[in-house]
This record gives sequence, C-alpha cells and structure tokens, in this order.
Amino acid sequence: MEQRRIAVEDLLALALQAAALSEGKERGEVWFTEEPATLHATLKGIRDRYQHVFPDLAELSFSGEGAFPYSPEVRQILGNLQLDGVIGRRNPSFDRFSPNIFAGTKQVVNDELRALFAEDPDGQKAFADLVEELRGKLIVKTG
Amino acid sequence: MNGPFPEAQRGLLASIGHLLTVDSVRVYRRPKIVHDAIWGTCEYDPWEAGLLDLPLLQRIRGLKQTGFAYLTYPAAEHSRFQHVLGVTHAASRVFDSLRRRRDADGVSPRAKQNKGALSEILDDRLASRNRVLLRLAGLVHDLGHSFLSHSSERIFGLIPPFPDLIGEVLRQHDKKPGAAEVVVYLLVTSSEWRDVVGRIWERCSGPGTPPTEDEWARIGRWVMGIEPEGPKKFLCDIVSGPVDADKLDYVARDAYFAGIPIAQDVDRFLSTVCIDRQTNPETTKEWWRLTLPLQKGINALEQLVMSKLVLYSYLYHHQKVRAAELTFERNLAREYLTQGRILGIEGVWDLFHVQDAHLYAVTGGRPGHNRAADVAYRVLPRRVVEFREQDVTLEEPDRARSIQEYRRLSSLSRPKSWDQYHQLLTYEDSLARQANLPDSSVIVDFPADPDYGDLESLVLPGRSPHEQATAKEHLSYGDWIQAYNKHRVYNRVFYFGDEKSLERLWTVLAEDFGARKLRLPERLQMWR
Repeated sequence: MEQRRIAVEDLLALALQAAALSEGKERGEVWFTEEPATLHATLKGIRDRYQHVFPDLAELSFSGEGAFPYSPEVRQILGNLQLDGVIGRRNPSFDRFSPNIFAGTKQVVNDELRALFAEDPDGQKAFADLVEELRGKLIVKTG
Repeated sequence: MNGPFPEAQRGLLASIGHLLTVDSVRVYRRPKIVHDAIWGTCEYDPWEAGLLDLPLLQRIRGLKQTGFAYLTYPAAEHSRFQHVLGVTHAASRVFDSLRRRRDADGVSPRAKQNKGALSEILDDRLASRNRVLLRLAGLVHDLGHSFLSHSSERIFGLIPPFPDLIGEVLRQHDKKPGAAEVVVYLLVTSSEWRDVVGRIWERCSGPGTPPTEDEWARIGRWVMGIEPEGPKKFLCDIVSGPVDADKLDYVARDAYFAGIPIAQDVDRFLSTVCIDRQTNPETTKEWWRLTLPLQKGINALEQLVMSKLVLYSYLYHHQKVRAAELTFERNLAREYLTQGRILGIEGVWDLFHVQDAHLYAVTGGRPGHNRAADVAYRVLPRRVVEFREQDVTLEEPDRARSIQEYRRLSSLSRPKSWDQYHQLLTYEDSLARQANLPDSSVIVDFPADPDYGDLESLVLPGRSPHEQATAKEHLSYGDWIQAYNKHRVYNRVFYFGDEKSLERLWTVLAEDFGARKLRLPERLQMWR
C-alpha cells in the first residue's frame, strides 16, 4: 500500500475531530477517555496496524515494561493539541478530553481530508477505519 | 546493539579518547567525602572517586545544568557535575531504603507474593553488586551532554547519525531515548571505556571485578530507560523512570540554585517508595516497578509534581530563559543548515569534549558576530507580544478555521526535523525582512506541552494485592497541569531591533496573523 506522509500530531488531530463529527454532533461535546491504560493501548494498536499506511505513526514509542503500554509522545501530542485549542479538557477530573467542534469544523475537516485523500481511496479507507477504531474504543460519552 | 551503533561508537571514541586518560586519576584507598548543597555529606567509594578524576567526568563541571537560566537567575550556575554526584547519592539512598524495608512496606503486597524473584537482586551479595552498578549509572548518566545541556541536544539530536541511532533503539526496544542518552550508551559499551574503568578499579581497590561487558550494556540501557528483565526493571526505574533519582535531584537542585523556594520532603519519599509487581496484559510478562503506594505515597508524589510545575512556571518557561534558548537553538540550526557545522564544530562527535566556555571562545571575547555565541553575553531579543490560543483565535463563525491556522503556526514553530527548521527560519526571516530587519532578527515561540516525566504511566499499588490506581485517578495534578497549560503557557514573538523597527514589526505581524484568520489585539502589545 502507498505510504502517506502526515505528521502524527496532525493525523491524530484530524482523526479525533472526524471521530467526534461522525457521532453526528456538529455542535456539542463528544468525550474520549484519557484513562492511561485504555488510551495508550488503543493508540499502540493503531500504530501497529496503520503504520504501513501512515509511516509517521512509527515515531510513537510504547514502553511495554509495566501494567499497560505507555507512550510519552502520545501524552505530549494531547498536551500540544490542548495548547492549540484542538481539544478541551474542561471536565472536572480531566480524565476525558473532547475535540472542540465549532460551526465550521466539519468544513475544515472535509477540506483537509480532500487535500490528503482526493485521489487516494486506499488512504481514505485506512483513515476511515482508524477513525472507527478511535470511536469504538475511546468515546465514552456524547452530549 | 548493531545497525549504525558500531560505526557511531568508533566516531565518538575517536573524538573523546583523549579524555579517557588515567594520568590525572589519583589513587584512593578510602571513600571520598563530598559536601553537597542539596544532600549534605555524601560518600563516594574509592573507585567512584577515581572515575570522577577522569577528564571526561571533569568536563561536565563546565556544563551548566539549566542551560541559559543563569542569565535570569544569576545563581543558577550549578553544573552537570554537581547533579551527577547528587543522582549517584540519591540512587543508592532509594536502593538502600527498598532493601531495608523489603520485609515491610518497601515491597507492595502483590510483589511480596513473588518475593523469590527479588531475592536475586536484593540478597546481600547480589545487592551490593547491584548497588555498585546503580551508582555507576548515576555517575555516567549525563556524560552525553554538550554545551548548554538540552539547548544543544535539541539540535545535535537531528544531526546524522542520531536519527538513525534513536530509530534503531525505537525498533529494538519500543523506546525513544534522548540523543544525550544514546551517547552514554555508546561510551559505556565501548572496550576503551571498560579498559579505563578496569585500570581505575585496580588502582583504587574496587570490590571483586569491574563491571563486565554485559553489566555496562545494562547500565547503558538503564540510562535510556530500558531493562528487558522484569525483576530488574525497578533498578532501571531508579536511574530513569517516573520517580527516579534524576528527578529527585534536579527538581531540588534547580529550585535551590535558582533561588525558588519549593517544598520537597525527600525523607518522606524515601520512606514510602516501594517495589510493585505489574503485569503487562498483552504479553502477560511481569515487571517489578519502582513506585509509590496509593495510601501513603500520594503526598510525596504530589510534592514532586507541584515542584516541577513551579519550576516550569518560574524557570523553564520564563520569557528571558526562552528568549536565550531559542536564540541559541535557531542560530545553531541556521549554521548547520548553511554550513554543516555548529558553533564552528564540524564533526558531531567533537561536541562531546567541549564545555559551555566554547561560546566565549567562538566570540573571541568580542560579541557581535555570532548571535548564538553572543547569548553568553546576554545579548537577547525583546518581546514584541505574548499570547495564548484564546487571546488570538477568532470567534464564530470563523473559529474552526482560526484554530486550524493557529495550529499550523504552532506546529511550524516546534520543528522536529531539518526540513521543518528550514521552513521555520524562512518564515521568521520573511517577517524580519518585511519589517526591514536583517535575517535571524525574529523568533516565534510556541512552547510545547511541559514534560512531567511519564507520571501518567505510574501505577500505585494499594493495601491488597488487587487494589491499584493510576496517579491520575488519585491526584488532582492533572487539573493543575491542564490549568497551567490553558492559562499560563504563553507564546511569544521576540525580536532584535530598535523602537522604530518594533512599530514596523507589529504592523507586519498584525497583517500576517490577519491573513491566518488570527488577531493581535492592541492589549497584547507588551513593549510597544
């Protein structure tokens, strides 16, 4: 399969926004768990399964020398996405995060996806599968 | 490790071999007593004192622990040498505490269920050997730093063969070490290093035999945070882990020398730290980890996190510290991209025999012709503006596009490759030129998320074998960190120039931000 260069931080930002939008909530909050064991195990699985399509995922390291796989890069990516206003952690316990969805987010995400996958159905399919995995394993609440 | 490692090791040793001479190593028969500002009276075994005499270890007296922080906090001139003495001492204090309390609370209830695995490590004869290895790891763990510590590491880590070396470790161990840690691994796994240590060992009557090739490889891996044997993982954690001796020392030391009062009860930490047995659900392999117990260890952990947060707020994110570090980094990157060297040094391995004083040598005592080296004379840029995301992004209906553009700008200013550095320098120079300023006059800074050192990976064992929690579940530190990120981490634009150019630059920035669907409100102007 053809390999696409997209920085991990950009890929995850886009995938999280796409996952939130696919919940049918163009406005409102879709919460993803930030419970370390679930979050890191899910993203390790995504790295292992999709790095042949998105090779920059291979930059994530997941130490398996403990109770759950853990990636310092994932922690930093989520922190950067918060600093950049892409996700919010406004809930009281900060054990969840939510992509910030605004009126124009759907358009912005669609534009980016078109730019990335316009003539690349395989890449588009892989991205859609990745988003589905994030939805299935990390979304804990919509409202 | 194979791949690019053997050739890199030859390159390193060819450059630093002259610092491995034992001519200046004295013969020690008794332990050496050192009085340290943080730990008080510390004792170093004769062979450790001999190692400290090596020019390679003496070199790090000339590397400041906190880079350019001393330009803002004048007393923060403490060195990597002081720090490694502290880490060595702290590592054995942690180990001794675990051993002393091994039948009580030094081992978690579920780790006690399989005490046999620990006896190979903590029983008398083997314990003394492991203690020796731990202290040696403390002594060598920072030998891979070059001038101004992490400020230069962010640059030399991008120079070949470092990306390949780090990539190889990542492939083999699923761990991404720092470039300076890789240098330590290359050093301590070399036959030249073993030979020198062997001679010092003989001179200073070290116990038994000096560390073997395998033991040095283990020390090298510990420095990178890697230990493939489950029962020995807690030893690695003492050197490099979520609550390691490194953090115990540098948090207290950086605060003390910067003059920032913090509360860190080290005695409490040492009396609660414990070994826990954790099972990786994927591999079902068991790992013995260094951690803190759920009920008794929370206070110690809370203090450690809060102290680090205070250090970020006061020290690491201080605007003048950022201005100095970024001026240095940007100009090192510029020199490498245009001339293939940094501060006049052509070969990457030659970076590991120089000290901070190299900056003064580059200026020849006359600042004005090398902006990176001039930082040593506190020639620093001024703030044009400082802002957070919520200060500059637009409201609805443009909010989504505005945040997307904000993110593009922040990604641009956090380069992770030479291509990205090239793009960033081109952008900053375009701003400078539009404001009639020379190249390298403008710096755009978006600090990355602060690093609290893998605390989220920490699992705290409870009073029964099945009770456990992550640090995040029982500490409100997540709230503090996220609140700090949201409200206290400021992005800044810095510039070199006069009042007139400031007016022009402000106009250029306002236009550039406007084109990006961002705004620069008048109130954000700091020094106009």
